[in-house]
Parts: sequence; structure tokens; C-alpha cells
Amino acid sequence: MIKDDWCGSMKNLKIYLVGFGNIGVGFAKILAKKAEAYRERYGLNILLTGISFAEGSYVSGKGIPLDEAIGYATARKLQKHKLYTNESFDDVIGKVDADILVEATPTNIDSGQPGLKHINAAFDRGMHVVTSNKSIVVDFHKLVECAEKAGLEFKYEATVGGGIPIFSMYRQCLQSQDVISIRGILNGTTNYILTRMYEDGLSFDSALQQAKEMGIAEANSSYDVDGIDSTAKLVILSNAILGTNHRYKDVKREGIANISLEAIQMAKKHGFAIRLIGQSDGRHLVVKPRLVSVRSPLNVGGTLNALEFETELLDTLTIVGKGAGSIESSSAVMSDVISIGSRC
Amino acid sequence: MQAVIEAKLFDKPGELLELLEPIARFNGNILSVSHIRELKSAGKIPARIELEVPDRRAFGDIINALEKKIEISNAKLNDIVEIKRKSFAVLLLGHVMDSDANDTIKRIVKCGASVSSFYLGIKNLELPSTAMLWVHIDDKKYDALMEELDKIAKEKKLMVIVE
Ligand SMILES: NC(=O)c1ccc[n+]([C@@H]2O[C@H](COP(=O)([O-])OP(=O)(O)OC[C@H]3O[C@@H](n4cnc5c(N)ncnc54)[C@H](OP(=O)(O)O)[C@@H]3O)[C@@H](O)[C@H]2O)c1
Repeated sequence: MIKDDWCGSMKNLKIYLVGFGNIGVGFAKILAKKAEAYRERYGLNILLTGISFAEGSYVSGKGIPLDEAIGYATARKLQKHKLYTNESFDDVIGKVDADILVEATPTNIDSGQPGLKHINAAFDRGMHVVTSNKSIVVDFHKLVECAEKAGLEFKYEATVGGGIPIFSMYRQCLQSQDVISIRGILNGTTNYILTRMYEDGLSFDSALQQAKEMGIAEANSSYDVDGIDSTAKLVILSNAILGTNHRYKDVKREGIANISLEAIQMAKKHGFAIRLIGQSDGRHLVVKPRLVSVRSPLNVGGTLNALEFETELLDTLTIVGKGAGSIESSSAVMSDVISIGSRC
Repeated sequence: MQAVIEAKLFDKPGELLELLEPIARFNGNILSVSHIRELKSAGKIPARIELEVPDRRAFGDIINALEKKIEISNAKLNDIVEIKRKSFAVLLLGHVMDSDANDTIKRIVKCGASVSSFYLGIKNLELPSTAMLWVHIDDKKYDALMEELDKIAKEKKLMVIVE
């Protein structure tokens, strides 16, 4: 339950944000722009009472001024802010006054840390959790169980498909039926590379280079190109929607690094594109390049993601949208925060 | 008896007639035909026929005659599924010829599949090549075929990309 903290007809919703990079700053930017609208529309006065990053933290019970914090983060001068202390998450979690922990530290699919430690500590202190961190794949069911036992909310919309409302759509619009299987394009970087190969006739190496120059691929591209990111997302999807209890290692995985331009062209000649597809029917989880008919709704280009649900009563349902990006993914984090604030 | 036959037809004159002729020959009575050009995929157009047949034997005769000429994807008799086929494209990447393409196709066929077309792209015999084939298989045998394709990929160091 959110502590009773009303300001007139307004409910204060206090957030402790851990991780102040693309997503953390994107979240703060959305809040700076939309805080007034959220007060009017939902009666929610959303305040950032704590922000932690790798080298320190800001804490303020009254709410951290957003524009200033965003400015220091953008200028990479976080330590120059007047609220700066060198306290870490471990120091701050015990004293920060917050209803919700927003966890946006880097993903680590081997150990799950530091994300899992942050999320568990928040549950121990009675905070709801919203995260964009795919590290939850390491211990998904345990986290769900912990939240349920403590009567707390645990939301992770931004972990899969960036800004596409996948889990909310499932919970709110598909209650009447079972989902039988899920498949889709879960990684924008690989989809961008395959699109450049298909449309511009680039080799894999040139398309990857272009993706790096545009900031779409990291210097170390293995996480995307070898299907690791898609695999983590597929496990979260399958566990959350198909109720499976799979782990990262249960997925058969093959990346796109060996796909030649000749293969793309041969597929194209016969009406197909090659896409990196993650799919689960609840028993078999596979991430692999696949031939997708150019007429299929799953055949989306560029950095787009697309997800197809095979359902009991609706046949197939496909949703398409921006699967990454600071503002897009942060918008999903904000929607999770508002949905908790509106209900509790 | 009520029956439904779904098939995939090449986009060329006379294909639909090929589908209708055996139905008339074995005393089937056509109730409706849909042939949806907008759903054309990989050069083929899906067609669906609802019909009445005098008995199970006539239904079997019609299916046998049709299977010689066209690709049937589904067939139902009195709402019970009699045939459920998967038809899909498979792309092979690597040393497709050097790793004995003939043997690869034989192993696919041994799983109960049929292969209807095979396209090969070779630039230079030394370099990896690309082949594309169309495979048709009964739904129940699909998982076994996928396992065999995995095995082939590992043994022959090929990349197998399935539709
Ligand atoms: N970017 C996207 O489009 C996107 C989309 C969906 C999901 N995600 C996921 O969201 C998470 C955040 O992504 P991002 O792009 O914002 O990453 P990022 O830009 O690298 O930011 C990570 C932030 O976490 C901080 N951090 C690292 N270790 C920490 C620790 N031990 N304690 C406190 N803070 C710590 C970093 O601090 P320093 O800056 O001081 O190192 C930085 O502020 C990741 O798990 C990512 O996979 C990202």
C-alpha cells in the first residue's frame, strides 16, 4: 500500500530511482514534462525523492528538482549537483522515503546483479518495484513470489519491447482467454542490420558498422547480434505470459552473424525476409533467424519490434512498435508507475 | 457428408480447374469456393472449398487425385481433421553442395516430407552457397523433421533457416 500521503485532493507518489543513464534520465525527462498532466489527470503528485547511480546519490524528501538533475546528468557532471553525496544504494535504501523503487541499472543476465539486490531490498522495505532491467530473467518467479507474499506490485513492462505495452495488454485485454504461443522480433539492433542488408544490399559487416555509427549497436555487439538480448526477453515473456518456469539456459539460441547477403537475396527473390525471431509455445523456447513472408505482419523493418500472440479465441494478434530508446522505454516505466499509483 | 479442402495454388491459369475437376469426377458437390489473391505468399494463393461428398471413400478418392497435382494444406470431413499439412520454405547456408545436397534432401524426405522445389545459388564452388527449398509435411511429423534439420545443420556445418 502507498503510505497515506495526501496533499489536498492530490496523492503524493514518491519514487526512488536507481540508475540514472538512458532510462533513468528519460524517466526524469518525461516526469518533468508531464508532472502537471499527471496531477490533473490522475491526482498523482509524482516526486523523485532519491536517485542513485554508480558513484553516488541525491536524496530529498521534498522531491529532487528535475531539470537541474537532468542537466547535470546530460553534462556528465553528476557530482557537481548540490544534493550529491557519495552514498551508494546500500546507504540510501534504508533512509529514503519512497513508495516505489524504479530500477534501471545495467542488465546482467549471469548474476542478475546489482539489479536483483536492489529489487529484493525494496521488497524487504515494503516498496513496490518497477524495472526496465532484464536481469530479472535470472530469478523471475522468485521475484514475482516475493512481491505477492508482501502484497506489493512488481512491474517490468519496459524489459521487453521497449515502449510497446505487452504485459499491460495481456493483463487487461486478454483475460478472457489463454495465449497459446508467442513469437516475434524482440531486438531492434539485429532487425536494423537485417533490414539494411535486405533493403540496401549491405554485407553483414557493413550493416553492423552502420548500426554502430548510428548508436543503434554497442561497440561490443555480441549481446544483440548473438541473440542474447532476445533470449532474455523471450524468457521473461514466456514466464510472464505462458506461465512457464524457464531460464536463460533453456533457450535454443542462434544469432545472425553468419547470415550472408546471398542468403538475404535468395530469400528476397522468393518473397521472404530473414528476421531474428524468438518464439515460445511454453515447451520449446527458440531464438533463431527465420524466413518471414514479406506480407506477414511480423515483417517490420528498421529498429521496430513486432510480437505475435497466438490466442485461444482471437486467432493471432500482432503488435508493433519501438522496442528501445530512452524516451520510448521510459514511457513504459512511467505507465507502470502510474498504474501502481492509481490503484494503491 | 460435409467436407472442407484447403489448398495452395500456383498463380497461373487453370490451377483452380485442377482443383475442381477431381471433385466433379468423384461425385462431390461444391458448395463454395474461395480463392483469395490478396493472401498470395511465396508465389501461391490459398484456396478453400466447401463441398458435399457421398461417402468417406469418395472423399479419399478426391484427396488422392488432388494430391498428385496440387498442394493440400488441410482437409476435414464432418468437422474432423483428416489432413493437416505444414508447407514452408527452408534456406540452407554453407557448403550445401560439398556436404552432399542429395543426401540432405533424402534425409528430409525420410522424415515423411516431400520437397517441391529446390533453388541453388552458387557464386564460386570454393565459397559457401545458398539453397532454398519448399517442404511439405504432415503436422504430426513436423517436430521430428525439425530435429533432423538440427542434426543435419550440426553435422554438415550448415545454417538452416526455416519459415
Ligand atoms: N536504453 C534502452 O533503450 C533500454 C530499453 C529497455 C530496457 N533497458 C534496460 O534498462 C536498464 C538501464 O538501461 P540504460 O540504457 O539506462 O543503461 P545506462 O545508460 O548504462 O545506465 C545505467 C545506470 O545505472 C547506473 N548504475 C550502474 N551500476 C550501479 C549500481 N551498482 N548502483 C546504482 N546505479 C548503478 C549507472 O551509473 P553510472 O552512470 O554512474 O555508471 C547508470 O546511471 C538496463 O538494464 C537495460 O537493459 C534499456
